[in-house]
Amino acid sequence: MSSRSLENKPSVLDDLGIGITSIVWPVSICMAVTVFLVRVLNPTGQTSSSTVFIASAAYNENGNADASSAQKLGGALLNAIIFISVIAATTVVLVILFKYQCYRFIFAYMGFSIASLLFVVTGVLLIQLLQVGNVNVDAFSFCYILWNFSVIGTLGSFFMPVPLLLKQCYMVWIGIMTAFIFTWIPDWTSWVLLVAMALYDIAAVLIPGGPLKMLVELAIEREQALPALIYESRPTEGYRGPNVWRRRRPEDDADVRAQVGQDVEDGQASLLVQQQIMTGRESEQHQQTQMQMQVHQSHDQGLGSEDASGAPLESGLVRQGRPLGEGREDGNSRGNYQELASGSPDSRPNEEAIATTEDLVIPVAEGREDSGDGLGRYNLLLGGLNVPLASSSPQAQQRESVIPGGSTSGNRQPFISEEKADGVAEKGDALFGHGIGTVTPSSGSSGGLSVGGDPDNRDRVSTAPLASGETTPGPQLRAAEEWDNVAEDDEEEVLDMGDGMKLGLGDFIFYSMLVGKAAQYDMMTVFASYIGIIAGLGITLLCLNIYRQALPALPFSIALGVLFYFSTVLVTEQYVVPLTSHYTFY
Amino acid sequence: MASSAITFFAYFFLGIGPGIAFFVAFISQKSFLVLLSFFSAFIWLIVLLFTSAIFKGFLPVPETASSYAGVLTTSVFIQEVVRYGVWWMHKKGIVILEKIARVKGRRFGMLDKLYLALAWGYGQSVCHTVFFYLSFLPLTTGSGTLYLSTCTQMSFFLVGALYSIAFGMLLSSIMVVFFDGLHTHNWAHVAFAPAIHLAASLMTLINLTQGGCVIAMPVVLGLGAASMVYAGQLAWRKGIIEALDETVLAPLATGDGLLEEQEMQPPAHDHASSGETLSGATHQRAVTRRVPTTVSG
Repeated sequence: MSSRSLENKPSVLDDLGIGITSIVWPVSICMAVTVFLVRVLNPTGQTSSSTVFIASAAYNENGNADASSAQKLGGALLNAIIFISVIAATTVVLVILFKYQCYRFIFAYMGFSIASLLFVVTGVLLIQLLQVGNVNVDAFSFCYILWNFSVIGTLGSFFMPVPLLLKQCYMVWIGIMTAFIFTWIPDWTSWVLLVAMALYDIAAVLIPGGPLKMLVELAIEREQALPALIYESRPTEGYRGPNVWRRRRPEDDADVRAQVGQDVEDGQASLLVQQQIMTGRESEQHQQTQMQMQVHQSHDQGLGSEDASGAPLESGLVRQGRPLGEGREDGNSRGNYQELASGSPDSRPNEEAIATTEDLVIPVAEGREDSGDGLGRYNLLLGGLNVPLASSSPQAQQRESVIPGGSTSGNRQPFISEEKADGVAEKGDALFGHGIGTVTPSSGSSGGLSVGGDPDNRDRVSTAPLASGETTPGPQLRAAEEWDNVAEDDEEEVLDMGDGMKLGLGDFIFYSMLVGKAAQYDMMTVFASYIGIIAGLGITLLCLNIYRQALPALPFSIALGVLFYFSTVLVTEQYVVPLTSHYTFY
Repeated sequence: MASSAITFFAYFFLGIGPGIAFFVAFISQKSFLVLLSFFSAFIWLIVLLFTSAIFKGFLPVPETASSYAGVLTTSVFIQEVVRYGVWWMHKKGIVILEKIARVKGRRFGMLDKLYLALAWGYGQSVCHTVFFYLSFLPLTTGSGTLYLSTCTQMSFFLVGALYSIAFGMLLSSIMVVFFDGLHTHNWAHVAFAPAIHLAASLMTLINLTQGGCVIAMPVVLGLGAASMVYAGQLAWRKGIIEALDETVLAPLATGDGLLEEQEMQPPAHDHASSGETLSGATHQRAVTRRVPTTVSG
């Protein structure tokens, strides 16, 4: 019917919270598969003190089966303390290595641990599964497939660009493996360990001297991503259209630098981002405008040759290179804008600009797009970090401290004491936070400039260059003002839920371990703790939106999960079972 | 192994299948509804924990109809009180969502509010299904089954599956009706929710008698289906009214719709004046709650 019909205008519910859902699904899958493995491979709920050596280093719970509850609790506490100390020590080692830029060592170690997990542990588990399922597979095929599986997984984690879905699957699989191994920890020890891990997580992430906090700050300061196993989600569904991820070419740097010229500060190379966004919403408002942004893949070369950090780091970690530079509140951004605008004097400046330099430099505000637009998607590179353009450097850092890297390292190998994958829920890569966004003179509007800004103003900014085709300071100043206004729009920031999330693999592991231990008791406890964990995760992600700094993801979820587990065991089950077994429901 | 897997999946799809289909069709399309359903399930789980904590002191419940009636009535009463609390949360959520919608330039109309109510209700039915049925389902992977002496016609799991369908339908739909009642101050709708819930719950007491399950089951299923149909009709009416408001009446009121009306008319009508076309157009629209009074001509 008319263009104003209901179907055309998208509802606010359509993609609100899509970032949270994109994390909830993989967490749920990880938990579900772990529960399945526990029920299938360990139906009697056996535990073993030797499976995870460091978890039973102090007190062998299974060896002292007839100890009193107090003794068991004490022994479990001792075990937990040792476990946590080992983890803290390895995290400190990681911080030191990271601080002194021993990246090769970090990556070599992580590669080794991932490879062994994906080959040895997966192999053993698969063999057991095949036995339970009575499936016959010959050794050669099995080894061949397993070998390929583990090699791709190892390379794809840090060393090679692989499709995002593949990487996500590997991350989830690593989480499943490790969590399943952890479910073999004896009961008392495992529950005390979970609670202790949650407490440690709070300490490590929030207390100023905590190793994780230091790691996060180092990463922000250096504008690099942490060497860690992190699950990242970049939801791409919706009506926004395809998202073009392009590999950044070194020559693009030169192009833009030529354009931007003296405005680029030393050591901060331009981060070229080009992303083509086809946005339904924007097309409604600004039919002609188009945001061009290019985002390079996570494994692209970082800033190119001037990054002195060394090749391996760039290939793996410097996900989006260095940000364009801080200090947007001064003339930098305007300078850039001016450059771009002046470069195309004719009546279609945006197209000119796009044609000549595909990669445009953008001020930070673009990153701050609300999740409704395609820009928001790109935003997820930032991890949905919303940073206003005109914020001063330290302030920007403050806001962006959310988070690089997420959780540290690795992977837990039971046989070797190693660094732990800690639980830090993060909202994007702080690197990016300084970032990237592109702006063509005309496209300032496509929602890019300000989230809660005045739509009329936006229109003005966007269409002015188009209409006039001139490069007077007028539209640019207006644009800059627009960007300045962005900083005040805190309300919209709070209301905005980012477009994608990163969650450290340690969180996956401990959530799934909790649910796996619950599965050894009964399915009702599984569902209860599952709901508790997801609720805790939701609360954590909400807090992330509000506080905008690196937050530990374990405490809320573990607290609710453990609470629901014990209350189900003690209370709910005795209430529900009689009701159900008399067929009286409500 | 194969037979146990078959029985497991059979009961699984029987009891949970409709719920999953409903989820995929309606809830999973919008992530916010997924989150809201999770949150709702979380709240109802807390209510369940609270209720079971209360009854911890009364366990084991004597196996008489009156004591079970007391348990059920109290539990339903607690749930209905919480339902009002859910409405309160819903109202707060709507304020925030309206703000977000305004900021982002999105739509937030009656249809979305209906979706929200549905998600709240769905969370409750998920909680019910999971704890009263799904938790027992893994027992079917073994090689046995379970029958109660009072009901030799249906196995424990079959009864659970059918009741989970029934209560799933019921709980999802009465939330919609309840919210609508509170929104429009229609007290009949407000009373509908607790009444139907209590009725369905007390109906299951018939299962305590020998052979009672055959009687109670269709009744409760019927109650669930009826409430679902009623809620569906209510939603349809409200949604249609909103759709008409936006697509027909508002444009007509502002006069913007005139051009489009003309465009859409077949060529034979092109020569007609705008007023004539308009009146012709309104004539075609059979269902309007109110006549657009601001249109000239």
